[in-house]
Amino acid sequence: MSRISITRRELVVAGGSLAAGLALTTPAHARLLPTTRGVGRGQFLDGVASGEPSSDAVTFWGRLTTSAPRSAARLVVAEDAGLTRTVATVVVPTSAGVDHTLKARVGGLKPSQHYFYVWQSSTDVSPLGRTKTAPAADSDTPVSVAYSSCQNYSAGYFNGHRDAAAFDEIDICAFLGDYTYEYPYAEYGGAGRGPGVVDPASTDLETYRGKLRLYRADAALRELHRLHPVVHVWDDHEIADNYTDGAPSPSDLQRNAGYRASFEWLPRLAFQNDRFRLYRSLRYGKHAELFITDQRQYRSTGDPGTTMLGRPQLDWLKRGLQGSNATFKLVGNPDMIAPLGLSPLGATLATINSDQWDGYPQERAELLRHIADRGISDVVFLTGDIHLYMANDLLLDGRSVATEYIGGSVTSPGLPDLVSALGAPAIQALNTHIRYFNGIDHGWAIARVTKDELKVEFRSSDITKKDAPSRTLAAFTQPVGRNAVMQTAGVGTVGGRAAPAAARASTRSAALRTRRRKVQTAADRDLERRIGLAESAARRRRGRRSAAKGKAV
Amino acid sequence: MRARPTATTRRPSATVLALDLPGSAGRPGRRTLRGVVLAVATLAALAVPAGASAAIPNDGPAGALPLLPATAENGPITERQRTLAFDGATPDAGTPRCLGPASFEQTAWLRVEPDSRVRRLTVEAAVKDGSTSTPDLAAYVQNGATGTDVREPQGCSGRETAGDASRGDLGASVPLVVPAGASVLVQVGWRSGDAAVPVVASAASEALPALPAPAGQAFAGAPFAARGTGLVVALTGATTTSLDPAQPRCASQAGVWRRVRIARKGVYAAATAGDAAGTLTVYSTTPSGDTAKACADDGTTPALTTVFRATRTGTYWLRVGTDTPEKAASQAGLAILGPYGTSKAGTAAAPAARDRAARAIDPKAPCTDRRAPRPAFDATVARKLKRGGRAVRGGNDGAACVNGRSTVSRFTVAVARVRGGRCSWRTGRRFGAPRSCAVPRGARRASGTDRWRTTLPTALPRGARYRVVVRAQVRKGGKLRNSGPRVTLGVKR
Repeated sequence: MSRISITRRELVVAGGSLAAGLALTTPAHARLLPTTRGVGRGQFLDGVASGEPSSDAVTFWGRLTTSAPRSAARLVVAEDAGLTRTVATVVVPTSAGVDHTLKARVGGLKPSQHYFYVWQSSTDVSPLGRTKTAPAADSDTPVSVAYSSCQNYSAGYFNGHRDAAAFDEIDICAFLGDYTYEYPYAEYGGAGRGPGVVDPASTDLETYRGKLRLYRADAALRELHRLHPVVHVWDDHEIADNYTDGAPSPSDLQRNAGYRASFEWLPRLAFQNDRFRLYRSLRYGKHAELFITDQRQYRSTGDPGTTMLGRPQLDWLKRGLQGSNATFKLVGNPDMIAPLGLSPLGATLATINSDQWDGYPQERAELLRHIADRGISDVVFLTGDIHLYMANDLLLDGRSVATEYIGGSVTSPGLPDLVSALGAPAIQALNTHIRYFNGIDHGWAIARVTKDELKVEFRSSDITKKDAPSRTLAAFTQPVGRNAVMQTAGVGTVGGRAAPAAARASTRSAALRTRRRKVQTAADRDLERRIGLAESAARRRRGRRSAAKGKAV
Repeated sequence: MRARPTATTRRPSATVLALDLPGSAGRPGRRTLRGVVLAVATLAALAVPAGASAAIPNDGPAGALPLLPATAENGPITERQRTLAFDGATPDAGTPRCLGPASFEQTAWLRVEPDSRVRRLTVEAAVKDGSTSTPDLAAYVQNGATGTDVREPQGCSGRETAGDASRGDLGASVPLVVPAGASVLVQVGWRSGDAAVPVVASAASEALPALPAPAGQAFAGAPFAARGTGLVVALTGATTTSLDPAQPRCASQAGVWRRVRIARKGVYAAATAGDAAGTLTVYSTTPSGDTAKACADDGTTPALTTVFRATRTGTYWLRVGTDTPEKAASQAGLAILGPYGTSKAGTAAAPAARDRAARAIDPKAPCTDRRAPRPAFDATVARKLKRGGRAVRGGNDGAACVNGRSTVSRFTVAVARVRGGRCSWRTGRRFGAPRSCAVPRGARRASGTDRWRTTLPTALPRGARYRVVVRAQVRKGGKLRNSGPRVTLGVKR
């Protein structure tokens, strides 16, 4: 779904729509619209981000803080952090209609490679970002997929993101839902960041955008976005708690505002003629394909409703899993799929949470039956939502046909200590497919895929202390073909490996001047090269014309 | 190399109907036979066939519906909203289509009620679901609490202005600073070929301090600004009134007007600078959507500069737009310079004119003219050399700017006596052996890096023809290199 393939060309995007759509001889207000647009004013106060990486393209994101209705910024992409080997520059327009966010998808990149990028306005230069393309489809390269969910700003610090940012090996970070929470500060999860935080409820476009601005101001989340490409799927709290239950249904304004703001603030392009579609697959070399599923938008209203994925998405997932020749098929799964009940029979008698797949047993059975009957091996569900760490076998007819690793919550409250202490053993006893259960800790998870096995590591930290170090909570190894959870238990190393630090300068202005100079040099150098090419071409044309005239004489 | 736009989305073919016939609602218009024929054809095309959808109640400005409050389970909603359907919607005869003749083909109208305070009103419109198209959106500030004056929109937004269409998630947005007591009509539309899907429209309002209106709030009677530099325009308290025409290319939330008298045709540059200055738009006659000549809201310099070609003498209007009129002591500098060359120079003169105007208002403004230098002889040089003069002088166009600074380092002047197609190049006071005229020799350095001059050691001897060649040199990579064309002047002495 690459929209723009830009290599070594400076283009004003959307010019195609201007040229094709406007009658240029029209009088009136539109007359000046076709003129080429340059960079505008604005500051980069919200960090940078990248996402949707393929083996040859990445979507880049930025945002201008400006009061102007329209503006634009230049994106510079290079192979090196010094921006000396520029591969693309493009001027990207923006407006208040997208909250001044900037997006550009750059193609023609090399697989499995880091790229560096900055945005430049007429008055500012963004921080330097880093991204990574996916391995080629035939590549044997091991792949690391980080995933997390349920990051409630009120509940505590995003230490998990700081930890993940330091893992250079990460190929992509998957946000599996509840990237923001609609409540005002401290209403859910407590005042985990202390008093005085201004964080109103998100109910309309202005407040959803404000919510995202607040979350993205978090240094750890910003750093994660700065260093790694991401993919995101929403769950309910990006709009409102369990909003699909119809009790009550959100207004058109609230739902549309939540969806719009989410799209504006994340590095993804919309599918053609399917504006809010999120479900998609991302291929990572020979051994991993990531299927992202949207478990909110297509739900039928009700608690539960009659369908969770919707027929088109379910069919897409089934086809995709069956047709994938990746060693491991990773399913980005916002809501828990394994049964979770209060009886030995799990969901069939006493379901704890009908908002997850337990409320849609026929759909779950159809999917698992499809996996089993087609012999689709090594399907792994990477799950969020329930604020617990769990590792589950997905059983069908008594046999584990797939596995699920629930990566806890970044901060959202899990079970109180006492409940966990009393309840966890009972829950596991009653649900024997649950191989690991931890309702207390918070953090993130990473799935590492090689040609022989999948390894999943749960990481956690004390979210009440800012920048607290992380530790490995549990680790699992799943050899190819096993389709069952196998824990390689034990607490691992504390803290993460250091990542390349963002440019530090004694003063912001000195760093800004340096960035400005580098970006301007990179952009000028690229423009000079292209001007030189154009002049050479013009000289050759003149030479040919002169030669032709000489012959004619 | 001019940047080439990408065609990243397939645009539907547009059916062009000349519905925006100027002349309605009391304004002087231009009606031609073609216009009349098109109007008749349009009316015939629009005749509602039997069985077609009934018009929606808010199909025209007179039926504009109010925006509605909404509720949420998790907190209050301050914005007002309405979901618009377009089944049966029709275009609005006599209403400008501010994004071109294909825009606003099916429209629905809303009204935003007045407020007793000055406010920043932000109206938004986006697809409810499915389609990745962007609706057209226009706002008409009324002169009072009621009214349906739709002769001139004050704000206009759509797919051309909302951002990069290929991202697929654009929404149209019009922010305006609206005077107290003024209601606003909002027009939302789809184009021919668009799927006219439902649109969620919303409006957010932010009260602003009540401040006295600055000079030039209305274009009628706006103060005259003298050509030159050093003008200061106050922006605090500015709003958008019902007479200010929308300029989608360079939109601003508020603005003030100045008039300037142009006595000679030619290329002029206008510049404005200051944190509060958001846009600068030039109008050739009484401001309207038809008369905008040029505008600026972007660029790599602190000043916003625009170049326009004055093809008639008389009064021109400038609008300095601002997006923060609530700030105290908001003001902008303004400079109007020119003419630069004749009006035929057109866009060729633009880069240099733009830089000059920017530097007039901000001496530290960086150079943006990347064109290779092209020197030119002063008009009198040939005549003076013919009469025995020794001075050779001229100017230059093109500064070969790199990193905001001109790299033009010097000009060199070579003189040759021409005989039989061969050139004897002058070195010092002597002419050398006949050689090729293609390769100048003995070039002297001229002084100056923009205007240049040199003096020949002696007058050119009589009875011969001469060739004077000037060329620029730029400093690149620490080295002097020839750049741009050689310019040659023939002199017969």
